[in-house]
Amino acid sequence: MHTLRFTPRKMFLVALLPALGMWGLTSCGEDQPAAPVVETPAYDPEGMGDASRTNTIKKIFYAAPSPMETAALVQRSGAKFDKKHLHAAAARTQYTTSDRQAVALGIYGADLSYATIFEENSVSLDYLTAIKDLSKSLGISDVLNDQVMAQAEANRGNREALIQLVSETFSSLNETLKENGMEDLSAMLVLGGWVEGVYLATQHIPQSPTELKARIAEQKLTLDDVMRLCRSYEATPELTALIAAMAPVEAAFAQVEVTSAEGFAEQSADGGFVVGGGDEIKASDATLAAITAAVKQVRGGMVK
Amino acid sequence: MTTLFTPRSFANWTLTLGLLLSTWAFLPSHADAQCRAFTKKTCMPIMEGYTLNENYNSAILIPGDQAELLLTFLGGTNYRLAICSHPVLGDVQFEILDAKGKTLFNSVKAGGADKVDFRVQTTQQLRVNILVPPTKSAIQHEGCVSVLIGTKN
Repeated sequence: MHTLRFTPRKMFLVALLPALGMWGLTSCGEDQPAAPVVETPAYDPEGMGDASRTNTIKKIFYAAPSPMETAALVQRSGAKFDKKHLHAAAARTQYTTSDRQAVALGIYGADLSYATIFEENSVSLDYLTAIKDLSKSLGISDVLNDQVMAQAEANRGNREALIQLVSETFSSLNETLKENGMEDLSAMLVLGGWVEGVYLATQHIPQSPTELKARIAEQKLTLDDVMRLCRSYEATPELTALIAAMAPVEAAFAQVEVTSAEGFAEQSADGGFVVGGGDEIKASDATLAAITAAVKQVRGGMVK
Repeated sequence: MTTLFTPRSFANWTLTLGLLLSTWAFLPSHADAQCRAFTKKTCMPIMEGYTLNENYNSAILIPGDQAELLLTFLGGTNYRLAICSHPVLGDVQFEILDAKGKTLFNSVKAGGADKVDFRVQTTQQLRVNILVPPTKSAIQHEGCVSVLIGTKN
């Protein structure tokens, strides 16, 4: 009969094997695979340590403009706030699966951004509560805790403070989802937010036709950002289905005309610079009607 | 009579605990959490006065690593782009290019700037290329690099 004896050397190996396994499972996502580990890094609280790999990589970051930026475009066009376009905050209880909750979180986030930009602060607080409830359902309730809610309540008359709070909250939600290994849900949140942001913009076309038509046509580029971001994550069945559901929107935006033109950058007096020129983006009324219909259809499949 | 804690078993448990702790420190999720803490504490103040884009773009990089970000910047908007990195990585360089690859800004030519403010007149996709300078040092370190984008009306 064999007796299993745990010498310090064996115990070291037993502890090291799961560590190597976990490292292998969690270090995906870069363009090139990392080299085998050379030593155990000791991290300081400032985010540095001994290198855990020797080969260099090219890390690709995926990002998209935030719904707050889209809402600001709508406001700058001269459009007026209209609550009837928002998805009802009370519907939050209808979302019971994590994928639907993540998409709804994005949709409510865009509604919140829209209300906040237009300084409809009481509406903003309703949506913040809806987002808090959905975050709790997704197991990331620590982001929108009582302290943040109290801060929002205390600043309900301060538009700029609320804009900062909303942006930081969504940045933290995004981080937390990614950190907890729920990157697919993070992508769904971004996608839901994009659809709602563009949906709200299309609903205001009659109020500011010239300006908004041009801004909506330009969303061809942001759609490209969002779809690239979504496709960069692991293709879970739910994310794959959501990407497939975007086909009508992609088809409608494919009709937007892009004319190649030279860009330029000029120094500005404050030490920064101004970027101008670049490709000219135009959409006919028929294309805008197709975009409006496609976005409405896709949003209809996302909300309950 | 059975003894629960002999000096030898205590030594074994101490070793196991030490290994488990080092395993925890070893996991990328722990490194990511440290990176997040670094970003919050050190990088966020750079964006004061700007509304943060809601994306979180941070990574643990080593000397010689590169990173790239492609993003649409909306017309009529003022932006601040900051590349915030741990000092152990040296002067991390970055450049901003337009869709045709024309360089619009180079941090080295701007005296080693770690941030730049700019206004975009017409909506366009810009590419940000980041380089962690290589080092000849025998001991390599890794550190957090965060790309922060904010807007101002």
